[in-house]
Amino acid sequence: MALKALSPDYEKHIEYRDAEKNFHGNRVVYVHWEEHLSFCSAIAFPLPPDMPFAAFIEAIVKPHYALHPEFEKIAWDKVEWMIDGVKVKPDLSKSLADHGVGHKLLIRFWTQGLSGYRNSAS
Amino acid sequence: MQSLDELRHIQTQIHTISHYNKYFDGIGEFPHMHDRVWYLSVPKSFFDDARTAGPFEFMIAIGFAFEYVLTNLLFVPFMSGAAYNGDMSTVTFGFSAQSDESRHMTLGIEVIKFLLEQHPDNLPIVQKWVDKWFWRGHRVLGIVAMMMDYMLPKKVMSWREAWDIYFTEAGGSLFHDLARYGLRAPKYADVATAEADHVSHQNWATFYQYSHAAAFHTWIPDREHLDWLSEKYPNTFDKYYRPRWEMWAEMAKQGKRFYSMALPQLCQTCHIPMVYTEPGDPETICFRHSKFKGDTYHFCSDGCKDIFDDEPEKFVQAWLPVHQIFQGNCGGATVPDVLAWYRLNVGADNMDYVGSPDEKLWDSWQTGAVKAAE
Repeated sequence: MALKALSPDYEKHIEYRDAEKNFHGNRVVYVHWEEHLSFCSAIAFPLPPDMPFAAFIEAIVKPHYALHPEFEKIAWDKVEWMIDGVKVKPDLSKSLADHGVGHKLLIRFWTQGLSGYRNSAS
Repeated sequence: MQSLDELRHIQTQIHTISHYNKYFDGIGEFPHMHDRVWYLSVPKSFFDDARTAGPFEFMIAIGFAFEYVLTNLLFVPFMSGAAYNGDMSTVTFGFSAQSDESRHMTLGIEVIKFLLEQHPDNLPIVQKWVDKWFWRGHRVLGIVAMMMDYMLPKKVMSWREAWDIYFTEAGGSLFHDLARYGLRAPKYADVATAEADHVSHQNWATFYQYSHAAAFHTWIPDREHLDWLSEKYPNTFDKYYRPRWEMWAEMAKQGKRFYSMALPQLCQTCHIPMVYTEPGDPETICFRHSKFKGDTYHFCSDGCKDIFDDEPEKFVQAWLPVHQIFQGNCGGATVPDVLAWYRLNVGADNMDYVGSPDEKLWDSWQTGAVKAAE
């Protein structure tokens, strides 16, 4: 154990506070629209692992970014996706779990030709 | 002795708050909010981390890194700002506390010299704590950066200027003095110094879009204020941040004042939403992560990642507000449920300053002052 603790059995009492089992069947998934930092950070959702990627885009991603003035210009079939550091071309009919979206993993996406309000990455 | 000082400080702070609580919203439930509200988890986790360390690490954390290296950034420019803006209640507290701070600084520096003189093996241990607590303190002080650059009606100096004087110059001579013991300046001091051009803007933008979930108001800086920021931040403001405020101003004008309705990803170590950008690339979020026992943990910076990697068993236990909400431990599943659990008075404590009861009261006072002067 890296931690120096007074108690010799410290490890036995560690509370893994964000273990997947604590989320009632969901996994925490983070998503981030690159070059659009008016959304100050990636955003977090508790999602069922069997949610199809298409539903993830329609029900989660789109409503939360719809306010941005560039949202209407997004060509969704050309969006570049990255799951946990790996560029992927998602199969919309397959689930998040099928795409390897485990608990507390990050999904980033780039929209070609759109780099924020007046190209400021905002 | 210092404990007695700190008890007195909290008393004088509460006394200050009590004056404002008679007139302004969002202050009355601060002890209840401290253990619950998402952004208060940032200072809470800082002090909980220090309190649960050993006594020597605690002294480096509080007595040295916080009191000696960083406290001047809080007490000097911030209190000057309060005085300059006629906030005499805060000044009364600040001046009273400040005389104690010099004694706390003396204590911190003596303890660190004592530890370093005892045995050469102490050097790497002390250095590690200096690195850790400098970084944790830098993250917490980002709140002060935002207050100085965005919240003070009349500005005294920018956060960038304060950082240059009180960290780069004053801190530089301190570490020059400690070099004789083999101690070097904190790791990532260069990253923190570069961040001084960004941190206040990134933090205020965060609170701006989460104002519906905060017990204080935010607002878009007016043109004069934007010009001041452009002047003080010539390398970053016009390029990255001014367009952001202008975009939000346009949206507000169209009746679409921007609030982010999703919860942010948080840093496992500092608990701040992961809003900070890559060193040298202000257009890309700095994403860092570590794996521990099969799970993934996310960090806003190399500084926060290093702290986790050194003691993962401690930081996997962090009470991250966003994850706690998802687990159902914060009053319910909807934003109104969570705000009720915070005891946040919706419509008064939160949302934009424009249209708030605070604005209405302030404007009525200003009108009264103009009438009295006529």
